[in-house]
Amino acid sequence: MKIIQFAKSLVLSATVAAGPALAADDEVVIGVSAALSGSAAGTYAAPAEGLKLYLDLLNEAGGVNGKTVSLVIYDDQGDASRAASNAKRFLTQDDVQMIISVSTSATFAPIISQATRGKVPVLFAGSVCPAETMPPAKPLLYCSTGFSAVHDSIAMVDYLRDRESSDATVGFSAMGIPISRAGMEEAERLVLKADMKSAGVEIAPPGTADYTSFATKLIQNGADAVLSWAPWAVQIRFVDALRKQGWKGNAYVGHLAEAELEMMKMKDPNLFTLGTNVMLFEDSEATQTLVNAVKESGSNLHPESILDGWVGGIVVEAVLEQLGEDTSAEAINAVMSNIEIDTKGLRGGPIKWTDDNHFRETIYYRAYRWSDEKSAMEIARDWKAYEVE
Amino acid sequence: MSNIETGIGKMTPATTRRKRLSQNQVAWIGLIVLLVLLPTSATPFHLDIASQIFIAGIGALALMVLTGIAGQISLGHSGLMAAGAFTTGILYKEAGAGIWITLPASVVAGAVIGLIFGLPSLRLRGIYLAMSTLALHFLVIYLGGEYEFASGASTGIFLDPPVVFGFEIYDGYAWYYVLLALVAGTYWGCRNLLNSKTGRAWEALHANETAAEALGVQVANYKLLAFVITSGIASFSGALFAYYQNFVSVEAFTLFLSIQYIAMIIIGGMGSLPGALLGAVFVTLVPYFVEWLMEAVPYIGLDITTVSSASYAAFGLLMILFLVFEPSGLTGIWKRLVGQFASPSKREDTP
Amino acid sequence: MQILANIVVLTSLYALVACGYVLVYKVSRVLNLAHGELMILGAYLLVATSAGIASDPLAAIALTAMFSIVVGLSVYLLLMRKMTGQPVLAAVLTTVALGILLRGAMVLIWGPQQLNVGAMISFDNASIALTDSVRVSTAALWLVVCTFLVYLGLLAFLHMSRWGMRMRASGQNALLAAQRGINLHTVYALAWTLSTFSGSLAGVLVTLDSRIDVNMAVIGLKAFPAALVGGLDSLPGALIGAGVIAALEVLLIHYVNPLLSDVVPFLVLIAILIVRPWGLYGTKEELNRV
Repeated sequence: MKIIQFAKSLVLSATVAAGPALAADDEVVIGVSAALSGSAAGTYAAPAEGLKLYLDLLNEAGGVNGKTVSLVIYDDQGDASRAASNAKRFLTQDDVQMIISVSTSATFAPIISQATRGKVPVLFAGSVCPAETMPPAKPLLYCSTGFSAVHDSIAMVDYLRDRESSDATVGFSAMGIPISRAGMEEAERLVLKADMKSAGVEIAPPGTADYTSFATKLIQNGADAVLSWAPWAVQIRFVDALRKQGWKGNAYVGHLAEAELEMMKMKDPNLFTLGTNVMLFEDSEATQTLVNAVKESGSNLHPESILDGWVGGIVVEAVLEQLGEDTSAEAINAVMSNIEIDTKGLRGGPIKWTDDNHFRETIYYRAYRWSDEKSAMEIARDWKAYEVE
Repeated sequence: MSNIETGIGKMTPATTRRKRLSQNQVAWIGLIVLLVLLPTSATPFHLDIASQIFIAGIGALALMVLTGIAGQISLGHSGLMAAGAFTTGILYKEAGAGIWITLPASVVAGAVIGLIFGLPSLRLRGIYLAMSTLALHFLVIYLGGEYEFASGASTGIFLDPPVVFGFEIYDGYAWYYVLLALVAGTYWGCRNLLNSKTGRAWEALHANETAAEALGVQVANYKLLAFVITSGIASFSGALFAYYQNFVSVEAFTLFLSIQYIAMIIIGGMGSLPGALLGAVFVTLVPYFVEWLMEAVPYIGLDITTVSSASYAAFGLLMILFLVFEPSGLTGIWKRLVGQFASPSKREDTP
Repeated sequence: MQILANIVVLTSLYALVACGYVLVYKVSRVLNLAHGELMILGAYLLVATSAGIASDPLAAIALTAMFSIVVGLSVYLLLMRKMTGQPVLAAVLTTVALGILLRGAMVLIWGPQQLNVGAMISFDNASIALTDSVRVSTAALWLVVCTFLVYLGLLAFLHMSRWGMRMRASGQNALLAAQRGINLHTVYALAWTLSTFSGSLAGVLVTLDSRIDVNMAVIGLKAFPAALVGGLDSLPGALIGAGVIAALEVLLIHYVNPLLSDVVPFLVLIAILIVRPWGLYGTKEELNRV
């Protein structure tokens, strides 16, 4: 199985120079720093493969306007110092025109710091969107990732208010990393503002193996509903821990890469995901293209897990389409700072970046759940647009 | 007192070592000249790797003195480096302090933490002591994380390049020479320390604590001194790391980092200062080497996740191979090679 | 009351993991820092058997138990046996290296994504009501029962069987034991096998209770203070140590700050060790052991 996979990816990557390469006129060199191994690989390795898959296919088809992409992929293990050395390598050795980050928030500081020095644009595709990409956006930093702690929290609380009674008590579960804590504390603030009650924010240290006690605390504080925004493994183990203690309320979690497959196994009608990506059960043309690409690559990854990287590939393609003769980092940045990208039916609407907003002008959220009647996944609420202030 | 009971100890009397070093002076000068001239033909990427090696080398020297010489096991090395990095980061961010304040402050912070976590060593030994240093790691990481969250630095604390005498150290060449000088200075300092009364006391208490006590060595004082000095150095290397990478974040200081430092001193060769440096070179280069191997021989597998986990596994395997087949590490291999090729010149030294 | 149930379940988990540390340390004075990884390897073996060989859950678990014994034996015969007679520090570091190797290998084989083992062997981890307000999961209940049985079995084995006596004798004085005709290699191999078996059992049950990924090996690190508080060479000590650490963790999460649940057990550990350097029930050791 693995060997076939190797052989196929070998054929695919034959068109892409593996090592350091100097940029030819018709070739755009992009450095990718991704958590391909280490404890965060479960979340980030798949989107990194998705990005590579999309761009490999793009190159096979002759690129965009004669321009092809050369990917230089380095593993950072989700570790800050490795990311720093990757970023230095991109700038000093590989002469990249763009950097793509598919890794943990721990790696953002070094990437941002090096890229800003080298004046090379950074696209976060599959990494959680850093605050620096949101208005007022810092130059050079862009984000196409489908999830974002604060915006997901806003959408989750908004949807929760539709479903729960107006005097419900809501519990929150976060992981002990700054971005997850910030998201859940924002959610708690919104819930309190809506005159609902809070059962508290439970913050589990990274590497927690048993969530039972955290769940007990929320149950005893009388939580009617629970919100969670953390890596998928944390969110779902937390929901498991609640259910194990017989808790039957609604749980709202962020829609992350593994959600669809897991929810189909869990068959829990009271578990809702809020997110900006489509689930693949819908079987549209866009989702079929993606599923077929994964199948043909021989990879054993579940197609949904690569989606955010795949969208990153769409972004790169759109940028190349608008890029003129000049393929310098500066020109690429100029294109990126004012662009509207068609997400080809994989999101609720386009990704639009302006000078001030490198995240999204409007972000579209959908809620999904398992339906017992249909014995299948269903859309609990269709796309709803939220303006990003 | 056999080697088996004392741990991986260096049994060479200090006097012979001093003599050997003075005879190797030519080789040392050659090495220094080589290192000084190296950047002329190096790419910025090579310079970056070299700088990483120098920072790792400073940390590895500290751990070598503590574990390899004084015989105190520590799993808190990464925590100490974090302490130094955070002292620097916090002083810079909160007070805008310059490098002349942050670096000494980091050393002092490390030394104080070293003193506190060295105290259990007066009662605890071996594995039990290693555990108490593990507590140090978790404590520092917890405090650092709380600071990061409280200060809203969700992606870490950014540091500007340090300014020394009006000269900004950012360029790879500048860092190379600064770090080279610092690692050389640390090496020189450690070597002098080992040749002093302190060093001999450490070796004595490593070999046999009870006997050392009987010989009049104040075991408690020297143990604490070992913790204080090496923790100060480790913390210093953490501060340099922060400046070099331009950021501080708890997530850069994992338990795995402590294990990597232990791997450095094992692979380099326990009890030998040059060994610590060799180990730092080796451990820093392993991932690049595996990566290079995968690129050079494309048929051994290309799935990117596979390559990375293979590199991780390879690291474990290398450590095992050294522990099982070459317990004296790279230094041992080096000595054997020298012994084979230069036996005539060596014979002259033996009285 | 639910809190008490949580403490009991967590105590069982830590105790089942900690007894693996104790068994190996008791006979050979080696601390096996790869125990967490071996434990998760046990759980992955269940994934492998259920996917490839046995479709019946019980058959899969039985096969996994057998495989884990093979793993334990091979770890000793292929690796740790070579470290006998080496300094203890070197042996401990070898286990650290083994842990890294296993982690890398497990990601290579089973991928970095978390797997739902329970769903794979169609194990229904239903919630069981003990009283009106106290509920535990099926797997957690199994965990408590298994830990009880394993401790009962081990204590009976160590104190009543011939090989158990030999193990204790070797632990007390290896040289003397060898002179009296006890084959130390067999004793060590036995200890490693039992340790890996109990660890794998813990790994299987804890991953059935939630999910499996390589990071679950961190439980090994958490059970570590448990084994130390009790004293590294005492089984009853490990049980009590597990109780202390589990209670501390649960109460901290519930009443203080969950983020402290990583730090405080280690600080308590230091405090206890400073008063009693060999743990609550450990045997005082000769001084110059590293």
